[in-house]
Amino acid sequence: MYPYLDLGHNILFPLYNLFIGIGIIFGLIYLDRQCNSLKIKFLTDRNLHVSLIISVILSFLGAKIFELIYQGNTITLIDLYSGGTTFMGGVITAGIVFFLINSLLKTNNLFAFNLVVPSLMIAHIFGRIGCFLGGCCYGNPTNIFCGVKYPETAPASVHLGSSIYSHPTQLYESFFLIVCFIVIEKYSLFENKIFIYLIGYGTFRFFIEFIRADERGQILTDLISPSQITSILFVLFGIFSILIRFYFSKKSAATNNF
Amino acid sequence: MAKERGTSNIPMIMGIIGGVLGLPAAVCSAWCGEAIVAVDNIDSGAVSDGSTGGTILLLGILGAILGIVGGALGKKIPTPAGSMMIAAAILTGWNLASALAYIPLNLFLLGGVFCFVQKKESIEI
Repeated sequence: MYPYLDLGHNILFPLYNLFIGIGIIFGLIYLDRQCNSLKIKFLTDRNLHVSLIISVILSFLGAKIFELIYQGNTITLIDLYSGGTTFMGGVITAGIVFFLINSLLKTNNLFAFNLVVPSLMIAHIFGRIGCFLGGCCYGNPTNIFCGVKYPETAPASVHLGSSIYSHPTQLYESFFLIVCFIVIEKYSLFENKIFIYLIGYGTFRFFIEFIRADERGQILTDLISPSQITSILFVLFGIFSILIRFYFSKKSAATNNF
Repeated sequence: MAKERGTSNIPMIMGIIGGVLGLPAAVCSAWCGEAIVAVDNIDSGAVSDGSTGGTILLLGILGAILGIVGGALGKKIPTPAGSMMIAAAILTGWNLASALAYIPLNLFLLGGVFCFVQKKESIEI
């Protein structure tokens, strides 16, 4: 849409990167405020930041590797440089790395995940706006009022045609994440934040994939996209985790009554 | 035991913006570096093996990652974070083949200085 800001002297400022950066900054500021309001100990806070920043950096590598697997490409250095990224791959990699580092540093994993989920959502909201400006992750052609026409050089115009209006799926996702953020922060119990996010985002992503028009890749089946398979896993993991926690809390309550 | 921590978000903002701009700047610098080598080799007819671009790319990416890490930890561990950001500025400065690299270089340098001079508070751990 508007991928570069021309600063003159042949300096083009990539807006996609800028918005990812803004998202990470606001995410970290929000995390800081949460740590202060919950009066988290300094060492836990520091360990949390260390594990989070390592996870974020490795998540970009994971996002690239997952995209290469989704597209059925080989994983070489050149492919890693030239290939795209997928959020689902990034979030899975970050989750695994975050879990491992927290385990090593003896930080309560469930607490840590629940603490960082709102920050992840903030970063994701801005990241999707960056996608919109970069012209990637576009939707199917549409005639509805919110359809957008991309510039002639944008990937959407190259793929769909320059006079075609398409769904701004990036903005739908941003809007959904804002609503999800408000719901999680206002109405959810602290210990369920991560699971509600997984169920909510997984469900949304499953359906939004049907109106995505960019190359979705293929894995296991061609009926649904790889991101939809991951979304189903997210939802199942979230539901099972909440059920297990509910079962154990009832059991311990019943034991305490005797 | 008491520890010191920073109070300013400025190093974090500068480190992360510098880092996310440092990555494309590294790629851009690598291309420019290779182009300069190719122009230099026109007379001799030698073909570049791509090592110049590869080295610039690697140093640039390393600088950007150091800048992001330093920026994100600027409040928690100000002195090591400041050192990381200064190191990131040096690595980025090594790669000034592209004009875009001037932005992360300045951001890392200022962020590193802010890490050291920011107001600090003492906390009990």
